[in-house]
Amino acid sequence: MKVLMLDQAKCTGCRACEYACSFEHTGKFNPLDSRIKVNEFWEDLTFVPSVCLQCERAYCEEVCPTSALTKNPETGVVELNKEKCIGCKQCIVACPWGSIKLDHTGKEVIKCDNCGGDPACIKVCYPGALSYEEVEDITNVKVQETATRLKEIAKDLVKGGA
Amino acid sequence: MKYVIVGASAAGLNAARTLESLDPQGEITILSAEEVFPYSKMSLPYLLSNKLKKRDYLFLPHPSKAKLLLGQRVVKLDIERKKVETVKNKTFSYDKLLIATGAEPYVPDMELEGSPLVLTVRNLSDMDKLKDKLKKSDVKRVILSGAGLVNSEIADALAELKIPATFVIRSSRMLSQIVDEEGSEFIAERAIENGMELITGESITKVQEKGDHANVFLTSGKIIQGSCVVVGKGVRPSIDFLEKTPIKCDTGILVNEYLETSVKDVYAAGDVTETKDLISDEYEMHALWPVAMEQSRIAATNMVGYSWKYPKEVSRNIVNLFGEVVFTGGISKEDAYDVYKEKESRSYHKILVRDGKLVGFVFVGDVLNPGVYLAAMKNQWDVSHLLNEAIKGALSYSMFKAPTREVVNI
Ligand SMILES: Cc1cc2nc3c(=O)[nH]c(=O)nc-3n(C[C@H](O)[C@H](O)[C@H](O)COP(=O)(O)OP(=O)(O)OC[C@H]3O[C@@H](n4cnc5c(N)ncnc54)[C@H](O)[C@@H]3O)c2cc1C
Ligand code: SF4
Repeated sequence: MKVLMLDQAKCTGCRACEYACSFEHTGKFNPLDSRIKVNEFWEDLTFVPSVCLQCERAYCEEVCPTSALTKNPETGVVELNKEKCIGCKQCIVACPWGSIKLDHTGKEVIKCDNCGGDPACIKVCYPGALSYEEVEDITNVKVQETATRLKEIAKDLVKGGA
Repeated sequence: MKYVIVGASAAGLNAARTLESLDPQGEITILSAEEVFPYSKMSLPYLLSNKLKKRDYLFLPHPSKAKLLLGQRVVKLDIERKKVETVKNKTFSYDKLLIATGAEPYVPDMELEGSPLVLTVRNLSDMDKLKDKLKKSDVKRVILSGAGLVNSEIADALAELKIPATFVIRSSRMLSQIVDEEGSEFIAERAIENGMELITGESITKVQEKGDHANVFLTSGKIIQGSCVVVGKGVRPSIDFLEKTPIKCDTGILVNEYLETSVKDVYAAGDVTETKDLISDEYEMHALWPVAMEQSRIAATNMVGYSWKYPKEVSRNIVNLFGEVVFTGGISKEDAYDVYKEKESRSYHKILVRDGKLVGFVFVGDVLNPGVYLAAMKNQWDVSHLLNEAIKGALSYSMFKAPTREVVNI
């Protein structure tokens, strides 16, 4: 199973992903129609992309009264079935991260669908803040990263003890 | 472990789903008073307006393992023997019990109760009755007694169908429970634009069947006509069967912060409960769909043996009315603490701030990210430096400093 992976440290705040996302889904370049959002922290000059985490037990899915939102067990994506959606907006209030939202008209619910397995956003993210990877690979990378960090701490401890 | 859930709606089914995943060995029985398979009550207005494209979409997802028994209204709870008894004289014993019996419409005037032309809307059968009356009646107008959330939603659905309706409102305004006077005025204007009629300061004294329609008598002596009368004057928790038990109730069941009742091993969730409100710090009913979901997930988790504290709740509502999104929260109907308002021709915004923290808001018109407003209020994030953005409906997560965003109550 592949997931969208964010490496916040690499984001330069160019917001190309927002335009790519909007264009992929609507054929227009409107950041208001983008499923991914680059959060700007000007006081620290940092940029943090945020996008639907496809929660294991998603708040939006739980609260949807018509089961228009369901988790696809194969792809892991929380999918929105527009046919079933009544536009009640419960999902939008329920998502604590603001990852499911209304489009520019303020009427239609939109959320990240990983572009059906070929995310447009990663293709324009030249610094590599966004990538699309196998969960296992990410886990391995994370295990490796943590181990490296712990190794440094261990080394310091040994040095401190000597 | 033997779990029994009383009530098979939003809270009951979500609890079952949680129990299924946390205790796969558990034996779960859900008892439903209704004869039909559980459905979403909050989608009923959308069934009327046909925004729900198929009737099938009304039904809630099937539990995968739990046993669901229909037509088994619980009439007695025996705390000593840990058993419940249903109308069909069946008994079910439990190790842990969840009461998720929700609420029923309240009809204040006894005279109106029982008349075949006076309806309330809570169940699917009620909605079917309303549709039937609309079809058969020679007068195509619905008389709505009360202008609360449910009746306003029904009016909105009727507007979609181009069927006129008349609100008869005892107080002076619409949605007086969730918006302030200016907000009411704004929504009333939209209602009227959409073919609604408003009669304020009046109540219904009598409903008389007249051929295929109803003659409705008002306190002033005026008589109006409609296909039927829909009474929407709020709900009362369904707790009759608890009368002879020591379970502590006020209007609803008073639960502790683990959603357990005053009796051990008996939990409650959803519209049947009263819980502590974050803003007032008092027990209140928060009879809302998302609250039912949240409470049932937490109650079920605790029934399995965990200790998950249920945070203090806030009232909130998001609802589509006459082409506008109405989003309210906290003490939205009041003007208390620091009040900020912004009114334009197509929008009305108000926020209420106490010690720099959001304690209430009303948004009629677009809000960029409603979830943030709820999170900011539930977590009492400081908004004193963000008042401009907040009143514009433009709050977003990135405006809050990173550390404040770490603990998120939703
Ligand atoms: C028309 C309408 C519109 C609504 N719109 C909104 C909205 O826009 N937003 C929102 O947040 N909320 C809305 N609500 C409210 C929302 O539907 C409720 O908050 C939610 O259904 C509560 O779920 P519950 O499971 O606690 O109770 P309920 O849905 O009331 O279900 C309780 C169930 O228990 C059964 N029961 C009762 N007593 C017994 C017994 N003794 N034995 C066995 N079974 C019993 C009942 O028959 C019922 O099926 C709306 C409700 C209605 C009716
Ligand atoms: S707006 Fe649509 S997807 Fe969201 S909760 Fe309502 S029905 Fe479900």
